[in-house]
This record gives sequence, structure tokens and C-alpha cells, in this order.
Amino acid sequence: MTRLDAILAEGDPPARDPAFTLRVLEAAARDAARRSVRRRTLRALLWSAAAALSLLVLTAPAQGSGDVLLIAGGTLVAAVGFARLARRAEGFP
Amino acid sequence: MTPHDEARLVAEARGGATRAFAFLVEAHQQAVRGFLRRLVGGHADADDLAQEAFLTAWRRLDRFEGRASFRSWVCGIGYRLARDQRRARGRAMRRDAAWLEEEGPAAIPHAGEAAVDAGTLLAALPEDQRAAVALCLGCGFSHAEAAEALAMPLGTVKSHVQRGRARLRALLGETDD
Repeated sequence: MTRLDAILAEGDPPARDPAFTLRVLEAAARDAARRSVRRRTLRALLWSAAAALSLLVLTAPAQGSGDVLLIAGGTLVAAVGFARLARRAEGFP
Repeated sequence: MTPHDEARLVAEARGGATRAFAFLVEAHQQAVRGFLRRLVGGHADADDLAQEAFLTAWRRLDRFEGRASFRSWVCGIGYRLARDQRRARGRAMRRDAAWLEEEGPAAIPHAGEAAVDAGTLLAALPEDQRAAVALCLGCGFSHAEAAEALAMPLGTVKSHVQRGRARLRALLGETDD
């Protein structure tokens, strides 16, 4: 074996390393949780946007355009706030 | 692990079985981490990249077609992640690499001098050559497996390995007998 072969053959981690496997699985679980929260946040935002749009359509004939915009804007702001609260409750900043 | 066992574990992991995925990680972590340690040098950086590579593999298991072995596929993901990370680190890394290109021969201790590790030695090679040498000479991959992992033609891998080996031997002051 040449010196080059000896150097290149060094540095392998152990054949069995449960700590590394556990680290990967924990990271995978965290990643899955993060994606699930992201999906739920997006779904909440979509529902809120749909609700805001419905309110807009329902109240448009009865009220002035300023009130309609206020209602729609307020609903969207509330939706974003709830989504942020939901994320924080899951442990995300 | 036979290719049949591996295919079965991949199929189970695709269905969401984390236990099957854990078996795959346990079986291939040595090859993937060994390759990345040789490719990027530092053990901690390499292990972080290996973790990210396995995580990406877990997310994209549905894209694994089974043409290459699972370890080749994950090594390929790790190689691309390492390349992206190096590019993201930008100018400072490029300056270091350029310095190593220029100062390589003087920076590598000769036979009988201080010990040199694979990461330091391989840093003297261009990235593609380094990856091919690390896989074929360091991790024992066949040229075909390395070609699959690195998404390079077989001839290019053979040429990279041959040239890289010759260059490293020259740096170490070894001669062909």
C-alpha cells in the first residue's frame, strides 16, 4: 500500500453510529413538523382570505366602499395574527 | 445489505416508515460521511452535510428511481449540497482554493514528515477531481457507481481518478514503480 492509499483510507466514521442515525431521524421529525405547520398556516390564510372575500361580496351592496375595505382588511390582519400565534404555539419564532 | 433488501427498505420508507429509513441511514452513513469528510475536509462540516443529504433523501424518496444504489444517490445529493454551500460561501473560499492551487505542493508534507489527512491532501485537487478520487480511492466505489453519484460520464470519472491520483502522488513525492 502506498502512502497515498494509506492517507485516503483513513478518516472513515465507525460502521455503526446510532447517535448519527438518531440525529438524522430527529432532524427529519423536526422538518416534518415544520412543514406541517407551514401547510396549516397556509391553509388558515387561504380560508381567511376566502372569508374576507365572502364578506366583501356580502356587504358590498349594503355598505360604503370604505367600510367594505375596513372589514376585509381587518379580517386579513386577524388571519395573519392567528397564523402567527399558531406557529408560535408550535414552537416556531 | 442486498439490493433486494435495500429496495424493500426504500419502498417501506417511501410509505413513511421511519424505522426502514433508519436502517438505510445506519447502513450507508459510513460511506456518505466518509466521502463528505474527504471532500470538504472538516469532520463537523461533513457530518452536517451528511445529515442534510439524508434529510433531503428522506424528503425526495419518491424521486429515487433505483437505477443507482441508495448510497450513490445520497452521496450525489451530498456532493451537490457541498458544492452549493461552497459557492454560497463565496469569495473567501475561492481565494483559499486559489491559494491551495498555487501553494499546494509546498503545503503538503513529504514522506517522512508530519502526518497529513485526506481532507488536506485532497484540497489540492479541483472539486470534480477531488470528488471522484474521494469516492473511488477513498470509499471504494466503482467508477460506474461514482459516475452515477456525481452525474458525470464514466470516462470523465476514470480520467479524474487517474489524473487526481497522479497529482496526489506527485505532491507526496511518490513515484510510479
